[in-house]
Amino acid sequence: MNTMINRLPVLTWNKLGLNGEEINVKDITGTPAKNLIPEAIAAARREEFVAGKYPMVCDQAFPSGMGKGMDDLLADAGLQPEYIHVKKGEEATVILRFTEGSGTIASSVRVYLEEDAKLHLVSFQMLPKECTFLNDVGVRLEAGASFKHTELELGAGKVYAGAYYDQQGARSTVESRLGYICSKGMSIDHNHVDVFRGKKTEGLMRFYGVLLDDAEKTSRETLDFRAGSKGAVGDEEEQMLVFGEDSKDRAVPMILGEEEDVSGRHAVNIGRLSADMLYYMGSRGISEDIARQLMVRALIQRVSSHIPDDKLKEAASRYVDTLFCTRDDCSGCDQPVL
Amino acid sequence: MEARTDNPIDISEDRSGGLIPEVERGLYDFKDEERDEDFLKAEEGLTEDIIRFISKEKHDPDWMLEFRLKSLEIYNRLEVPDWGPPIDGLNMDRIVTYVKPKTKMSASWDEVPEDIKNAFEKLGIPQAEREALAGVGAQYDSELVYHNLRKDVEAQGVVYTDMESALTGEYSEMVRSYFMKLVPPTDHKFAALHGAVWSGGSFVYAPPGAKVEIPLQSYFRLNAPGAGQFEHTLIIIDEGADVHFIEGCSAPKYNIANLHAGCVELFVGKNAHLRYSTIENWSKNMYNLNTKRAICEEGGTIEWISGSFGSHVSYLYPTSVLKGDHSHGEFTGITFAGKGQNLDTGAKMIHIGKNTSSFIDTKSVCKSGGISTYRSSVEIRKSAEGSKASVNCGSLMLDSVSRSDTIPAMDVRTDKADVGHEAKIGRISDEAVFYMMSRGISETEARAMIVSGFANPVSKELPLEYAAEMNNLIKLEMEMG
Repeated sequence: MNTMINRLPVLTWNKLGLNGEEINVKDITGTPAKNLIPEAIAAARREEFVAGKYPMVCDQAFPSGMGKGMDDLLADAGLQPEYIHVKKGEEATVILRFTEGSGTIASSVRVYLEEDAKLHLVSFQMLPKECTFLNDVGVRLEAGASFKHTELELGAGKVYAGAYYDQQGARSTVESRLGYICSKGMSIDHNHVDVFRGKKTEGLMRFYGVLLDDAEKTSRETLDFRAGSKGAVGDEEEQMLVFGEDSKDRAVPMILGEEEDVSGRHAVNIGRLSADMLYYMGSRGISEDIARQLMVRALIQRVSSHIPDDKLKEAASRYVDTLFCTRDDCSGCDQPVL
Repeated sequence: MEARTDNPIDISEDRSGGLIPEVERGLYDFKDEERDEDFLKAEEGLTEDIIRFISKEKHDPDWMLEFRLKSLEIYNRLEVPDWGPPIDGLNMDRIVTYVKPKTKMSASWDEVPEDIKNAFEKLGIPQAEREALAGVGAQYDSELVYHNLRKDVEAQGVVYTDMESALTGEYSEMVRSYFMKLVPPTDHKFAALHGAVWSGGSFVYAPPGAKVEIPLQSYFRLNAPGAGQFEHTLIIIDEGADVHFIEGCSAPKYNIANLHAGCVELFVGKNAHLRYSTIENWSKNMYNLNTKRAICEEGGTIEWISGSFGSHVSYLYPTSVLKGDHSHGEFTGITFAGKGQNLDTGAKMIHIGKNTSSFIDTKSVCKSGGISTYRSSVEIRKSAEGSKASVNCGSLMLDSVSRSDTIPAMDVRTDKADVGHEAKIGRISDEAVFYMMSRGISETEARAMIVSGFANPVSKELPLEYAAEMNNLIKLEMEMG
């Protein structure tokens, strides 16, 4: 079925084709949810309109980054989002590992953090290249809650990802990092939204991506300061290394503001290695290829270093080795760690 | 658009909850009563008969009538945009698309009818012409009433005239080959509307190597209530020439909607340079649905300086098409949205040639329930190897009943380009206001000074007189809180 996912919270020119992504996937595989979203939680904070500005209906009771389209896809496959509930003052780390499978694989998670609860959600994806991966997250934070989100998307040929952080409680914090490498024939389309509602909320989002060959990437990144979020601070940054002659890199980094007393910043850097850097490396005997490899590795490590699992870190590192390995007799770097 | 029995200004976006007050905007708000015997008006609405009437009154060549009718067809076919501020308070059935003062265009202010001349005197146009401009065009409602060019500039071969004269005179073939080629009527609904009912505007041609040291200015005054203004500005800067063009606009405030759907097409030749400055101060009942676009040949430079202060609703995104290798585009703009205003402004840069570069620097301020949206796009095509683009935008919110959004987009299709974007949103720091107040400056004045400082990147790019006008506008807006 054709479904619209990853819709922007507010629209821009239709000609750019960035307002959302229409996808057609079938035969979705996923793990049946062990915990379902309780009705009371889902309905507790339902809002009718997005951002209060445009007549855009928020059609999810518990919003996620990929939106209702993703819920519909799951429902069509007889699946539902997995629900994680962290109680007041408790702390947890959840690692989601996606390294085996075929076809279209989906993961959808909703997280509810009570007061002062903490969760580190890690999503590590190194599926075979022929896979399509759908990775959707929705988080609701009460006062003083902290959510750390670490995502690494490395293997699947097509990735659709989204996250929606609803910072309802005062002083809640979000720290989100997404890293990815897309090589020949691969693509990623993601939509990350951080909504600041509570006072003195803080959000940090970092996106690190590498595009090689003809890889394509579309990123939608939003800091949304709602009325009442006095003292909120949002900081979002995207760094892209583009090494593909036929690559396509599209980005919409937005700041929406209806509260005066906030501080929001976003920055995007898209490009190649600077001539100065290449010259510096060259003068120290480092070829352009090696320099690229070093930079890609450094970029991915900015995400993988937050994964509390050494094997996964090593697997990410090996993935970079494999990507740049030119040896015909390579037998080491392409051996799976996992 | 929703049909209404009248055409009241839509205040649904006024988030402060009150009606738009009849604010005193000093010199911009004076109204001149238009006596029927002094003006020729089209009927309200948009029909083929009205288009034929306008075309006949303007003595259009046949191809232009055909062009207008084709544009009307396109207008009827295209949808209203679904992504921007609501414009359902605009009822085209109640807009008068053509209001012609019964006077001929003159090159002497003495020959301009007294009431119209007084209007421009109040706006300071003749004085500015004497002191700081190389040429002036003054449009009142739908037609130019005054046009003049300094002799020394004319001697360089520079042509500066009204569009109607250009369309039928010596430059008719040039006009035909450039008119709405950069902004075709199919571009969007209001470009099509413009193609159907355009009237007035200026034509500039700068021959190879011409250097116009001081600016040319066109000033557009819309006085008639419930009317539309659809001027067309066509500027062609030939190889190596250099021109600064200033566009000013204002209107008195009425309690019914007025519409501005002008079109600006700028052709910048090889190694030529054009600076296009605008201080837009339409009244707050105006729907400003304007389209501006420039195309640069090899080594050409386009610079946009833009101050948006007026209008009830604005859609304004000057576009630079950097077609030639090493061409360069710059946009420096400020938008100030106050009570009852929803201003959606920004810029677009399209890199096609190799080693092209662009820079966007915008500031937006909103207060008293105003909505300011910065919207932009930077496209780097595959052919634009070695290109660089940088975008910088800052938003200042002065209260929590206002709204400020930043919606930039980037599309990069080559690995041999560098694109940077940075945006910030924030407020005036209490410490800065306190510091200034401790030195005897009132809070209102302190806040106005800080906003003026915030707007400095724009005002410093304007000629002194215009920078002063912009600072006055900021002060006026700040005092209206």
